[in-house]
Amino acid sequence: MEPIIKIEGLNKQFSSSKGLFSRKKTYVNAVQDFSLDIYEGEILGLIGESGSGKTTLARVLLGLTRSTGGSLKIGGAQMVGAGKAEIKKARENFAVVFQDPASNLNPRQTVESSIIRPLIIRGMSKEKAREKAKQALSSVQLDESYLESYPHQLSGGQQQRIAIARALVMEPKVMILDEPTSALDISVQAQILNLLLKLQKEYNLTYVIITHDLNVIRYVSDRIAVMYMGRLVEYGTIDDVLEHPLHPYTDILIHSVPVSDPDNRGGEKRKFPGEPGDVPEDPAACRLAKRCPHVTERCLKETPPLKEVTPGHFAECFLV
Amino acid sequence: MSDTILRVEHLSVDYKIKAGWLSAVNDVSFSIDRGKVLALVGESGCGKSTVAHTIMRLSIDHNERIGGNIFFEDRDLTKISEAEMEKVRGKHIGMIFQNPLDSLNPVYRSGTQVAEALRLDGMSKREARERVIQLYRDVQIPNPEERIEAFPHELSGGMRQRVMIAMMLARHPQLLIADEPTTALDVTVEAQVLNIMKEMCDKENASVLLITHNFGIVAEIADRIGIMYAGELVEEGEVHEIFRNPVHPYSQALLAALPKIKKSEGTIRTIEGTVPRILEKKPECRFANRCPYADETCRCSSPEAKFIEDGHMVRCHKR
Repeated sequence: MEPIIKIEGLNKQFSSSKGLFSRKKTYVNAVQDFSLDIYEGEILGLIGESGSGKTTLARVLLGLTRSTGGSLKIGGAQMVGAGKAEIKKARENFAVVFQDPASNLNPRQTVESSIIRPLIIRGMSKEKAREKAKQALSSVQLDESYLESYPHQLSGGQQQRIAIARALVMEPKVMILDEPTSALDISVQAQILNLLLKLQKEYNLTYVIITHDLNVIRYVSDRIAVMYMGRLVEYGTIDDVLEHPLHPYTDILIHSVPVSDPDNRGGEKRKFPGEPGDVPEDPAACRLAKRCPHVTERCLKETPPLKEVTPGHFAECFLV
Repeated sequence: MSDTILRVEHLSVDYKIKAGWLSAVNDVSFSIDRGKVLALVGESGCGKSTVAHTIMRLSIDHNERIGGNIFFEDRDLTKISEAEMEKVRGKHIGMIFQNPLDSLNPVYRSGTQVAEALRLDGMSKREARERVIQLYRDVQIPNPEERIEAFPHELSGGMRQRVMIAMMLARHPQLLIADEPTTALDVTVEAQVLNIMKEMCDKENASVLLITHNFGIVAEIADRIGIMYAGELVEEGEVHEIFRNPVHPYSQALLAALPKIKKSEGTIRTIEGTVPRILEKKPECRFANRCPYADETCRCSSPEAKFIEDGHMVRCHKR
C-alpha cells in the first residue's frame, strides 16, 4: 500500500543570532533526519516531551513552516521545494485541531461564521456552507442552537467539539491533532477521545495525534512514534512499543508514567539521570548519550542507525 | 500531641457575584494525620484549589463568605488575626503552586529568594547561603553553588519547581500544600520531582495536602484520597479502598473515564452532562442531574456525609 504521507530524512533547523548585533549564528535541529510512512486510515501517535520537535514536525506536515532538507511526499507529491500553489493544494487534505480550544476560535465570531469561513473562502455559497456546518455540528454531537453562540459561552469540551467540527467541514483526509485533550478534564477527555474514534471510523480519516500522555496514546492509536531531541528514536505498533520497548528512552518514558493503581505503587521505576537538554556537544553522537544508562564509547562518537528489529518495529540504538 | 495535624470541619466558601452567592465549597470536612498524604481530586471548578487557598487564607477580600472551622494543631485558623496567620504561612504550612514561574520573582536570583525565607528566622547571610546550597543539594539540583546565582528564567521547569520545594522546606513546615505541583512538567521530570517531594516529606515527617486531577500521581504517593464534585467532598477514604471499591456514582464514573485500555479492548466510559454552577443552595444532590441512579429523593434533599465503614466517607442517598 502506498503511504498517504511519506517522510524521508526530513530536517528542520532553526537559526538564531547569538546577540543582537552578532553575525554569528547558532543552529537548533528541531527535527533531524526523520523518516516515517503514514498510511491511510491509521491513527499514529506521536509522543515526546517538550522540545522533542513533535509540534515542529506537525507544522512542517501542514506546510506552516518549511523544512530545511529531506523529502516529504503527500499523496505522492513532493512538498520540499514545491511552489505555493502545490503546497496549498496538498494542504486541502489536512485539517488541524490544537491544544487550547479557546485560542483556536475567534472570540468575536459566532460558531457558525468560524465554521463556514473556510468553506466560503473555497468558493462555496453561503446557504450550502450553512448546511454543511449543521451537518458537522451534528457529527460532533452538538445541536444546531450552538451555531449562534460565541466561544466564551461554551465550555472547554464544547469548544473542542466546535474545533473538530470546523476541521471536519473541509473533508480532510488527514487530521493533525496537537494535544487535543490535554486542556480538558478527565470526563470531558473521555468524551472527546470517543468522539474522535467514532469520526475516524465513519470517515476513514488518518490521524496524527501529538501528545505527551501515554494513556491517551495507548487508548487511541494503532502505531506510536517516539521522538527525543528532534529524532525519531522508536516506532511500531502500540503493543510492540509499549509492551516491548527497545530504545532506552522509550523504556524510561513508559516507566515514568504514574500508574493509576495504588497496589502497584513503587513498581518498576527507571532512573533518568541528568537534566532535560543535556545533549552531547558532538553533533554526531547519539542524542541520549549523556543521559543513557547503557551508554557505550561508540554512542559518544556516532549516531546509531534506525534498525528494524522485528517486522514493523524500528529503534535507533546500537544495543538493539 | 495529637496525631492529627489538620482538621477541616464543615468548611464552606461562597463568592459574591452579580447574580448572588456562588457556592464554591460546601460543607467539606476532612483531616490529615502527621506524615500522611491526602490527595484532593476532582475536575476543574470543583473547589479543590479553593479549599487549599482558604486554609492558607490567600483569597481574603470582601467578595467571599467563609463558614466552618480549620484546625491546625488544635488552633482554629479561621479565628486568628492576620498577623498571626502571617507567622503560620511558610513557617508551619508551606505551599507550592502549579506554575513555579508565577511564584518566583524574575528579578532576583533563585538562591536569594530561598535565603529570604531563612533570613526571616534570623539566620545570618553566610549561614543562609550554606543552608540554601545544602537544600539545593537535597532537592538534587546539580552544581548548587552555581545554581543559587541563577535567575528563574535561566532554570528549566523541573528545576524551578525543585527550587520551590527547597524554598518551602527551608523552614521545616509540618504541613505542605501542593496545588498541582507537577501539572506543568514532562513525565520524566514529573516522576523525578514527585520522588524528591515524597522523600523530603518522609524525612521531615511532614504531611501533604495534594491537589491534583491526575489519578496516576494519587495512586503513586497518596495515603488517602478525597474526591470533590461541584464544591462538595463526595467520597473520602484510604487510597487502595477507593481505587478498588469506589462507592459514590461520581467516583465510579471518574475512575472509569481514565483511558487505561487500548481501543481494541473496549470503550472508556464518559459522564454525560456538565457540572452545575451552584448559585442558590437547594436541598438536592449536586450530582443528581448526571447520576444514572438519581431519583426523587436525590432531587429534593441533600445527602449527608456518612461513614459506610471505618474511615470511608461517602455522600450519597443510595449507599
